Amino acid sequence: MIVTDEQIREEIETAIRQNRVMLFMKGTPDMPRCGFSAQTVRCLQLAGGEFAAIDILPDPRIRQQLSAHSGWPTIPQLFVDGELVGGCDIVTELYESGELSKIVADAA
Amino acid sequence: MALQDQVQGLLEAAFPDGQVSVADFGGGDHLSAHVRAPQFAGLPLLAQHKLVYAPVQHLLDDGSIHALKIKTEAAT
Repeated sequence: MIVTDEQIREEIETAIRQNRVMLFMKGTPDMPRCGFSAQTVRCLQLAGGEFAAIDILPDPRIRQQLSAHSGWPTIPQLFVDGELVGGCDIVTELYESGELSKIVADAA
Repeated sequence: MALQDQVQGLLEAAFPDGQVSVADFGGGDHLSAHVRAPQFAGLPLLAQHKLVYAPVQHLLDDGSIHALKIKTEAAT
């Protein structure tokens, strides 16, 4: 089956719309494939919220379309209520300041 | 020129009134940037980090930089 760029973009936009806390990462929460994705997952888990995750590695176009949508160049990318919150460094800072729990809780 | 020096130069040019410190934390292409600049005052973290990404975007796009850790501070 041939998947078009358009279909990938739609799938990304649907995921962001339908999941109030949506993480795009390398690998899966159980098996992250990058230290930054692993750290972001850990922050979210410690913040105590539920989140959905999509692995961007299976098709390079996922990352291209995602970055085109968000204007954010790197992975991971966390979206809450449809808005980009940031990458690993921002999520970590928000976790350390205690704000992440509030952001995730407000979204739940 | 080493990537670290290149990124240091690009960020210094982008934040002429700021303090920029770029370090290599692995293999020459895993970099961390600490930037303290007046431009960050009053901006949300996301916008602050986007200001740091912008001048090095081409190096992220072509894969030269594998990872870029960012720490921003608003200079007062």
